Amino acid sequence: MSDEEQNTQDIKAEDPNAPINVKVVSASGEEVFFKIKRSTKLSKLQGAYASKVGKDVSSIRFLYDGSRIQDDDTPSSLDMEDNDTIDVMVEQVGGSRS
Amino acid sequence: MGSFQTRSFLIIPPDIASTLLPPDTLSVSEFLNYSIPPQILLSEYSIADFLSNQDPSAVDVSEMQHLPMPPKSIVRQIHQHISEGSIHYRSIISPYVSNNTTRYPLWIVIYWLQLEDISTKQKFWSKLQTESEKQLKRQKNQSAETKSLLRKAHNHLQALPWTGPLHGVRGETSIDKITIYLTKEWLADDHIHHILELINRELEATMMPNMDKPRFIIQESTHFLTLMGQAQENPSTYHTTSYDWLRHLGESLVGAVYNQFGTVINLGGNHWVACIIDFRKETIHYGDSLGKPIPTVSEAAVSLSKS
Repeated sequence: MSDEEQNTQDIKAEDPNAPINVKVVSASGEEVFFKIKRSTKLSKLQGAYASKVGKDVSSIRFLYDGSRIQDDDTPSSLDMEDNDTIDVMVEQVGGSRS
Repeated sequence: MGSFQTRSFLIIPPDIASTLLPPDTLSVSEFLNYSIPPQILLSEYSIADFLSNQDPSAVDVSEMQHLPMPPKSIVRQIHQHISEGSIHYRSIISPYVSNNTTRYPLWIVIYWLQLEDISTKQKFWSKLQTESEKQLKRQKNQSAETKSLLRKAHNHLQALPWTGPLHGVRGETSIDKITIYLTKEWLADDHIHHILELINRELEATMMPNMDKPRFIIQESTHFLTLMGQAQENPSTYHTTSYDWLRHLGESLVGAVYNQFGTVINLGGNHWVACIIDFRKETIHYGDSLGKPIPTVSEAAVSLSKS
């Protein structure tokens, strides 16, 4: 079976529009829950989270399975499952004093 | 660039835009030569002095390239006025040039707004150019390798496109993000991420499927250690699916799929250190430009991956 056929079957098995629950957890352990469609870009969730906690979206980082979530990622592109967790971190900087 | 454009009469016709505005593909050095019309800093005129309800009369588009721009605040007020569209204005006049009865199309306001953006970008690239030239001159204590690198970076800077996305790395980043490497500004996690991504790609290209050779895995996320710390604090969640990725990584290290692990860690929110764990030699390489000892928290988290 080719990869393409495999993918089509997966999509059939999982309705791309069925919403899933996603938990966004900050480094200090605060949790915010979202219900989103598998096909919705996660950048939307990131924007919603940022405005909810009153932070600029560019100053926070969203990680899934330890990797940065990219703007185009969706729950389906990341193979996310219901009740999965997204970790939120603040932007890190570092340098010399001068 | 098109964020100001909402209504059709506020869209610069594409053929004219290509004459008036610098193309996105222009190199930095050419872009810096692009001349912007003078901008009036303070003005006695009110916005009514700029608006006309007659049709535009301008025929020569290139004339607009030399027409003084009203102050920023007035440009914004005019834009707001005409885009609200409550009163039907048809053209813009310039009270700054005596005997000028020319009426300009309404989209000249968009042109002015875009020029402001272009002017900001010119200042940015010009500052960077100066910085890069300074570094070339300040070559006293630099090795031949550093000198050659600085020269290369300076040359590449001239050829970069002045706007658009940064290619060659994952994620959406604008080209101006890479210029930070020519300055003394602090690096953010995004920059470290890019560096590690490039190193990773280089390693993948050279890695051999031979057991004796080092098989390196680089953790590109600088937040890795924080996530490990969290897992360690909550042992019950560590065994849930949320941490599948971390357990798999641990197993691949214990199972000798990889035998070296490297990452960059942020300390205290202001400092970057490099860390390489060599599982063959059972050593930890820790690189801190300040020469400080390894903080205990890192050691604790490292022990988790071994267990």
